[in-house]
Amino acid sequence: MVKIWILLIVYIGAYANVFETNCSKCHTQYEYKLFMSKYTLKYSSKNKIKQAIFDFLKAPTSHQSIMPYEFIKHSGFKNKTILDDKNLHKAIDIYYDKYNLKNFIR
Amino acid sequence: MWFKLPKNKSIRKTILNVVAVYLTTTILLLLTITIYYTQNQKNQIFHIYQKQIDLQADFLVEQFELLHDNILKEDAFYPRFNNIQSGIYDLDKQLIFKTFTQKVKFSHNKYILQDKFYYFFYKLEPYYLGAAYLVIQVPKSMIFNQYYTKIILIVLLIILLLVLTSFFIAKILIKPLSDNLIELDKFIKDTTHELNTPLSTILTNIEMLESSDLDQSYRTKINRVKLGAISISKIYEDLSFLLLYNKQKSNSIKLDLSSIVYDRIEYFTTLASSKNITFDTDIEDNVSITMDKVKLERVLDNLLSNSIKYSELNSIVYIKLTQTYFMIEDYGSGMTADELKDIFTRYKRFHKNIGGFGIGYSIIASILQEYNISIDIQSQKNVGTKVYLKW
Repeated sequence: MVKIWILLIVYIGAYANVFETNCSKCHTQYEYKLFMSKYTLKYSSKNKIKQAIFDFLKAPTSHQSIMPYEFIKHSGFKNKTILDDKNLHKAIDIYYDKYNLKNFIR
Repeated sequence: MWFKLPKNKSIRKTILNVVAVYLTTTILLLLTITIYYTQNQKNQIFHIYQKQIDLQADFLVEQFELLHDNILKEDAFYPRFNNIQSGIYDLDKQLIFKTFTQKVKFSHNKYILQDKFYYFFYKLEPYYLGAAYLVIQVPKSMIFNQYYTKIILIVLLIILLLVLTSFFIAKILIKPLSDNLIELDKFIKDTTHELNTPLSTILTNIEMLESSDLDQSYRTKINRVKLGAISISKIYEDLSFLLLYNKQKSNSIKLDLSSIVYDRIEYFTTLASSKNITFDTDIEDNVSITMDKVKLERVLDNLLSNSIKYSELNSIVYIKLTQTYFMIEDYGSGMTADELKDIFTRYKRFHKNIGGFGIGYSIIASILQEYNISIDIQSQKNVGTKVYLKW
């Protein structure tokens, strides 16, 4: 039983790290909420939002960016992700679960 | 009051029948028109209500926009209303948030009716809070209840007016007939009252003549006059009972039934002897009963008079009285089972060649009912009739 718990904690820790280690270095909480707000307004559903984020991170262009030109001009433009597809999906899942707007509707 | 029903039972019954027929047909017509009108109006009312829901949806969308804009600063407090409920769904029709508990099936129609609720669907864009669909839930009763209440009130008001006017119309229509009946009733009452004095004079004088010394031929003639007077007296008693006495309050006292039965038998002896009928009696002494004396005499007189009337010549009328019942049996024309069914119907006569108005058994029944005395009549055509009164 103890082994199972240890494995679970290690797994969750590793899983969470994909998002924290790769994304939180550059982005703040406010930015996370802002991005999610923009993605939700444009894509509405969970699958479409995740796909849009995935597509952008794989090949970021100003055309594909959810943020306005002024924001990109001010904050700079993101490089292409170094994560493989599997880890990128994991990171996006964590991001969505944590910041999707449903969590903030009362 | 102008719609007060007359006291006369037949006029009353006629008025009620006219009113019933008039009301039934008019109300049926009114209901048909109402149902047709309601069906037509229902669609219009629904469309008017739908426009209100559209406005509500617009308001909700404005609220979503505000909430979406502020969500970076604070949590979004979903708008709630007392009368309507709503929910938002994403582009894949997955629930985001809702204020109703029921599960809704999405439809291509603008609205659906599901389990007593109307669901109105709105497609939204842009997707504030992620909402691609807004669903507004309204109870069916809320849309139509107010309308139905109004319709029901109007219909009830019309029915009330119809009831009042129908009584008024019926009374106007019946008035000539009612006046005639009242006149006739008054005439019969006056005539009956006027019969009393001459009839008493005839009977008293006959009794005086009977006690005097007369030869046989005069005695026979006097006897015939007496028979006629007794018959008229019986009719007078029945009529005055029906028209006058029956409407008065009963004066019930403890009566010596045995002696009253003897008295009434003696009274009818002359009538019986005209047909050479003899009374065979088995009367227990000291049988008492609590009744109105006039009413008791009407019952006994009618039973005795009927037995004599319908007995064969030279026959016997058997009379028995015990503590619990009175029985009278005659041997004569009797009645069939069908005739027996109608015996208590007023003015029903089975033998047109025998005198009477057909009111005897009707009087008996009304009196016995008042005193809770049961009557059992056994009769066989051309054999005879046996009547039991049990208390």
